[in-house]
Amino acid sequence: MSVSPQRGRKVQPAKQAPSLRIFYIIIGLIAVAGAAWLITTATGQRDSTAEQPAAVPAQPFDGETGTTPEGFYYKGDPEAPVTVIEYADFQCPACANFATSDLYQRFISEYVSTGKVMYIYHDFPLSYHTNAPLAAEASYCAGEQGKYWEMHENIFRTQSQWSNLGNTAGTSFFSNLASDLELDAESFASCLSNNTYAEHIQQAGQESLEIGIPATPTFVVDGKQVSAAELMLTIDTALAEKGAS
Amino acid sequence: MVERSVYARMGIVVLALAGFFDSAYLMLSRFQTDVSMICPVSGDGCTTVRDSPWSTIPPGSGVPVALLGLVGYALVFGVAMAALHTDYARTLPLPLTLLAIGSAGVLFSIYLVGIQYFIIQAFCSWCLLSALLMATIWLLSLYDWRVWRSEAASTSRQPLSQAVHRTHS
Repeated sequence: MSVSPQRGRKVQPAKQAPSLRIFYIIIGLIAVAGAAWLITTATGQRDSTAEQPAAVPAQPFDGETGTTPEGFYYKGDPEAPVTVIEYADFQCPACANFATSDLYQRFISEYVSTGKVMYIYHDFPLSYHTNAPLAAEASYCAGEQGKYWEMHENIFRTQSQWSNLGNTAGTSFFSNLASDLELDAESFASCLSNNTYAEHIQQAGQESLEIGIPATPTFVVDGKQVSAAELMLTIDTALAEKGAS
Repeated sequence: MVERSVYARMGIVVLALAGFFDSAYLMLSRFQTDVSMICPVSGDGCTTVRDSPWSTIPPGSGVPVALLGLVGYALVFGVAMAALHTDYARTLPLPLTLLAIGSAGVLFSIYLVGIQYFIIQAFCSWCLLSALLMATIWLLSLYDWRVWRSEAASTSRQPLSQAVHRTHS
């Protein structure tokens, strides 16, 4: 059916006008419903942050710890048959889920503490996680005073409390975490304000991009990239191949 | 304007609005990093995909793809609304514009789904929904464009006395 040029037949505009008006009303209703859904989602999420657990003392680890020649912290025996490198971002929720999970506890107690795995944490701060570099710097500054892993775990545990802070509030939040660990406040503060580790962290991120790490957290088990869900199985396979399980 | 074009354009408007809110949620979730995303069907996939470096263009830094979605769907919405107005649809090549934006959107969606399938190996249902919406928008705009083109071809062959009618609205 095409527009008829003749007057009096098939008066298209008159026929269309009412249906368009109804259509606009429907569109308006959809828009209102959509906006309402977005607002409830946004505010609902804000409420749930209040229920997040506070920092609890970090689990003690009595195995070997240290830094690799590239400056990344590791846990476990450097001579262990299998090496696991975790590429993660302190502000990434999935990374915090892993760091606070039973899976992580088991990974440490069954593989790292037993000398089967050397576990290296490789920073991969994502650009839109604005506090991730600061959090990483705080972890290294605590490392200067020998409490890298305690800080590391506390930063992940308190992620929801500092994720949305500004730079100043973030700095004072991490300083509080440092004093919870009884670190020397002055040297911690000057380590942060001098951006001692900023370049190292930025380079670590760049390097992660270059080697094609697809997501955080990603685990590289003897050169093979896997997700947290596949971690244990991949380690078991790698250990079995080396006859070390 | 042919009546079935009206329905095609109405469909595009509704789908673009849905896509806009879909993108808006994806964008909003980037600021709500402290809570896991609502992620129907695909479990943790949404958070994994959002927190991957591929959620920005270029990857790892730059513009969030959700923001591109917001802009893209807003454009489609605006152009399709304008196309529903017979006045604009007659003077401007709006169906062609819709087809062009829709095609760009579909190509971009294919890239994004490819990244999820081949590289991240995790799926985000909101992102897949967006790809589906964009594909449907593209099909409707292709249909609308074909009707518009054949209509334009037939009206241009009409004598001037009949073509004059187009100046009334």
